Parts: sequence; C-alpha cells; structure tokens
Amino acid sequence: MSGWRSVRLVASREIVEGTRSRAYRVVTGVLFVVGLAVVVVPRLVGGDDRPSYTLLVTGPAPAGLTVALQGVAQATDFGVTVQSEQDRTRAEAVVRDGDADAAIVFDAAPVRGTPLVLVGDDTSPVLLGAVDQATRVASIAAALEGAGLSDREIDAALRSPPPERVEVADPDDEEDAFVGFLIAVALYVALLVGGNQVAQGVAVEKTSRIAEVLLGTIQPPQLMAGKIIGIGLLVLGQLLALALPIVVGTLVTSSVDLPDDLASDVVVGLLWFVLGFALYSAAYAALGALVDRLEELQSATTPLTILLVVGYFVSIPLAGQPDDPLAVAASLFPLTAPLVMPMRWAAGSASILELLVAVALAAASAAVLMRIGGVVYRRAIIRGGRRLRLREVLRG
Amino acid sequence: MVDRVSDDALQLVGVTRRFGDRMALDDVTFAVPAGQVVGLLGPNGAGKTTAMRIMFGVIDPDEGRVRFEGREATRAERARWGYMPQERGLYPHMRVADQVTYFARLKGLDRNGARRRTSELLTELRIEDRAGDRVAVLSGGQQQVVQLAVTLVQEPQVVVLDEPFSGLDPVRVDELSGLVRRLADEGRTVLFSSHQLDLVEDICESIVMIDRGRVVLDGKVHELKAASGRRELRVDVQSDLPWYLAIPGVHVVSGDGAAGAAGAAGAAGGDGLGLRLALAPDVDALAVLDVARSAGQVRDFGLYKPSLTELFLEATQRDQFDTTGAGS
Repeated sequence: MSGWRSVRLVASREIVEGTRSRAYRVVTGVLFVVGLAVVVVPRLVGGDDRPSYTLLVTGPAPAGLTVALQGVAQATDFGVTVQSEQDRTRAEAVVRDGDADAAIVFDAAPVRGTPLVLVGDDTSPVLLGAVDQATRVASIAAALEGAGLSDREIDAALRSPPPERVEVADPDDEEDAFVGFLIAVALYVALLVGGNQVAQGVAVEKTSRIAEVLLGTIQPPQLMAGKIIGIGLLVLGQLLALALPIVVGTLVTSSVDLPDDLASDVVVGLLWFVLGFALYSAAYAALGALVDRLEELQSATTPLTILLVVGYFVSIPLAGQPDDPLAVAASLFPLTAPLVMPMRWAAGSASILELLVAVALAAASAAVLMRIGGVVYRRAIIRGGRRLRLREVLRG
Repeated sequence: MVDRVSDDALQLVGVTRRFGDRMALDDVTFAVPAGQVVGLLGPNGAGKTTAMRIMFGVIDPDEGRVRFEGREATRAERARWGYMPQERGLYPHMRVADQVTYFARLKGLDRNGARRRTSELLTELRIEDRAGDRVAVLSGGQQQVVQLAVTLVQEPQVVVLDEPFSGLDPVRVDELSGLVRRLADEGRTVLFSSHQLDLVEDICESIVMIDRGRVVLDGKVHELKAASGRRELRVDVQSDLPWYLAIPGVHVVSGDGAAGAAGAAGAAGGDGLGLRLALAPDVDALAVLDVARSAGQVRDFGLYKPSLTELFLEATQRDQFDTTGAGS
C-alpha cells in the first residue's frame, strides 16, 4: 500500500471523527456567526450614524426636485425625507414645532420664480446647501424642458457621474493595528488549540496502545503526518468559517466601515496559520509521544505553550507600534513569526521583502522541526512504561 | 526439528534486542508452522511482547531477521498480518463498525470491500448489534471481540495474539480457544502468548518457552512432555502398606501422607488422591504396577505427565514460576 494512501486514510479519519464531535460543530458555527457579524454589524450600526432630515414642499414643485434632493443627500451622506404640505402657513407651523427641518415654498404663479426656503432655529447648513443645489438643478431642468428637450435628454444632461474621490490622507493606523491584533489573537488560539489537539491525539494513541496496532500496519511518519494534516485541516476549517464571511463581505460590499485591505490581511493570516502549524505541530506530536499517561500531557507540552505565549505577548502590546525593533525581530524569528508577522503585515508595517524572508525562515525551520519531531515520535511512540525525556529519546 | 523448517511459515532467526543496557531478547530463534496453534510462553518480562513487536516491525531488532515462508518478511507482507496487542488498542470514541472498517482500509481493502467484510465479521463474532455504538460504552469482553475483529478483518495469513486469554472468564477462554483452533485449521499461522502456562496447557499444540530473553524450550507439547527427564507415576492402591518402599529406584514425590516418613500411617489408603512416584531411568513402570497389584486393589494407575509449569521449571532449573506483576 502506498504511503500517501495511509496518510490520507489517517487524515480523513481525524476529519470525520473531528467533525462528528458536537464541540467542533458548535465552535465552528459560533466562529462563522462572528465572521458574519464583523461584516454585517458595522453596516447596520453605520446606518444609524448618518444624519437624517425631513423636508416639506408646498406649491408646484418642479418635477426633478425630489430626485435631485436624494442625489445630493447621497453624495454628502445624509438621509432626507420629502413630504408635501398644503400651504405655506401650515409648513411654517410644522417647521416652527421642529417636526420638519425646513420647507421649500414654490409660488403658484411664476413657474421660474425663485422659491422660498423656510428654516428653523438650527437647520443644518448641510441640508440648506443641498436644498439650494437641488432647487437650482430643478430650475435648470424646467428651463431645459421649456427649451423643448425631451425628458430623457434632460435626464441625461443632469445625471452626470459624481467625481471620483481619492483618499490622500494617511490610512487609519489605529484601525489597521486593531485588525493586526485580532489576527494575532485568532492565530494564537488556533495554533495553541491545534497543537494541543495533535499532542492529545498522539498521547491517546500511545497510551491506549492503538499506536501499536497501527504501527504493525503503517509507518510512524505516515501516522504522524496523517494526524497533523487531519487536525490542521479541521482547525483551518474553523479559521475559514471565521474568515470567509469577512473576506467575501469586504470584497463584495466594499463597505466604508472596514479597512480596504482587510481581505488581504486575512489571507496572509491564513497563510501564517499553515506555516505556524507546520512549525509547531510536529513538535507537539513529538512531545505527545513522550508521555506514558494522559495526565502527563500538559506538563510535557508546556515548553511549546510557553513559546506561543511569548509570541502572543510580544505581538499584543506591539500591535500599536509595529515598527518597534523588538516587533521586527520577533516577526522574523521563526517561532514567533507566525503571530507577529501577520500582525505587522496588517498594521502596514512590514514590507513584502520582510514578509517573504519571514516565510522562508519559517518554512525552513518547519522542515527541520518536522524531521526532528518525526525521529522523536518514531522512537517514543512505542516506548511505554514511564514518561520519557526528550534528551534520552534524541540520543537513541 | 529439521523436517519442520521447510513448511515453517514464520521464523525468528537469531533475534537480539537491547533496551539501554537491558537485554530484552538474546539470540532468539524459533519457528511457527502454518496450521498449528503455537503458544509463546514465559513469565512476565521474558520478552514475549518484544518478540511479537519485532515480528510486525513495530520495533527493529538489533540483530537477526524475521522470515516468512522461507524468505525475509517484507513490510508490505507484514502490514497485512493480524496483531492483537495485550492491552486494548481501540479508539474509545469511535463507533465499532467505523473502527473495524478503518483498520480494514489501512490494511488495503477498498471502501466497499472494507464495509462488506466488517459487517460479515461482526455478524460472525456475534457483535453486529453493537456496530453503531462507541467502543467506550461496550463491556470489556465486547471490546475484546472488537479488538479481535480489527485483528482478523483483512483475513490475515498470520495471526499473532498477545496475551489474548488474560483476564477472561472460563467460558470466554473456551470460545476464544475454539476460534484460535479454527484459524489454525484454515491453514493460517497462529501464535499467541501467555504467562499463565497452565491455563493454556490444552490450547496449544506447540510451545516456545522463553525466559529472560532466551528460548528455553521449543517443540510440540506432547513430545516435550515425553522427552522430559521426569518419569513419574500416578498410583492409587487400596492398601495400608507402604508397598512402594521396597522397589529400588522409586521414590515418593507426594501423596504418602507423612511425606515419606516410613509410610506407617497408611495415608495412601482411602483419601483418593493416590501417590506420585518418581522413577529412576532404569525402572520399568509395569514392574511397579506388578508390585502395586500384589499389595491391593489398584484404583488408578498412569504415567504422570508434567505440566507446562513443571517443564518450565525444569528447563530453567528454578523452583518457582514467577509471574510478578499483571502487565507485560
């Protein structure tokens, strides 16, 4: 039987059994909802932030007025509700009471006459500007109509596209740093949980002697690789449940409330999960193979947990200052890079060259750790009776 | 034993294995012929499990080889053998049928073949009603059956069971030994280990006894017993007289009540246990029978065959069979 077939069988067993567990389903579902919320909630909340005005209109308003008003309102980012009122007297009363922000009064007689605008105590200048602009547009429309243009020609003349806006101000540093912080937290949790699941799975197989049955049939590297790939894909699935709504949401809606490069930040974060998992999982598998009883597992994996915690505690306080020399160093050092580099990348502090160097270093270290971890795993997995020390196993 | 070598299915040749400075196996050579039930016997820590792990390539020997049907056993070949470890090796949270199917697939069956074979085997082992249950909720005996299913699912040519009878009640010992017998009758190579020599006395045809990493006895059970230097008789005579004292070359092993003290008390009379007499090599057993008959009515007379434990003690020149510890 080919080795790859065994690896696939082991990995798919991990995935089938993993996805059958209720805990996995619940956590994945919650992550998906959180991902959706990240995209949807700012839009819902953002809708409430826009100012909204009520405008009264009396008399024979030009046909294009309401459309023109809505156009201006959209361009300057406020909402407007247009209501018609019987006559000027009533309109004055409503504005005075504060039930409407302003009223436009068109005189019955002169079609081209300038309308009156009734304003209250504190009518917004933004609204007034919009009213001013809209009435002018409406007048132009009326004039064009008088000149014999068809409705469609008038429409085409007035509906010129709004000018394109280019942001030249600094990107919002604080927001980017926050995204980096969140990505680092997600990676920290994913690597810690995934790593411990690998160690736990290895220890269960060793202590329950399943390994002995399995290793009569398949080779230790196949068993280890299958487990790492299976659990890695399970955790990656959870990260995708969280990330996919965010990436798709940002790409599709291009919401102004989310940073523009969020999608690429998330993709780089996922790349670093794969690298980080490749780095840490073999080491977790090796340490899991050292134990003789499951209770020893936690103390056996402590060194790796400490490494991850160090990466975490370097990346979190430095999320606001990603150019700090410590952050730069930690983002290149392979064992902390999986947490710190994606944080710096999201914060816009790392260059593409730095990213590539960190990826290369981490990939090379992962290859080395996989080799050493594989040797330790192979030697330790069938040596029971007592807890083994890493040094004695490495010695042979 | 030379005549056997040609059809020996499985052989360990000169296998040596050290763990640190402890010698687990020391130049171990033995053979398991196909179609026989062979017991690998010895006290705990003798090296039985290590020998089995080496057969399967779970660990490598420092020296020596594993041969199958006259050539070096290949990895692919060994991967299809069936190995049942001493302790349960099952995923506690996995369902019974899934578990058996999984192992079948690892051993090379395709998806449908693995499913079909699993359901056949679970039915054959009469545990099909638990197919959808998690292993953890099964009783110990049922788990053992599942373990056996995992071992046998690929219809292995070689079946190796490490301490399969340990901790089973007599009914289950009976069931399992019947199954083991059937496997051998189908022409498979069947080896099992035990540290409870007298429990498996009637199950194995051949034995390999190891002690402290060395083979101390190897052969068919009846031949080994016959070849034993011990010649003992079981005699029960209705007589108060110490009739046996007069025969040269005969001495009492047990049963004369006063432990050989002139035989006066006549304890050999009616207690039904009879005597055990050891004979010197030149003593004719039938001559002893003649003397017994002249002393009184003979209720029982026979050649006493040494137990496997006695054979072990004889081979190792020890006076006590030590089975310390419950584990391997």
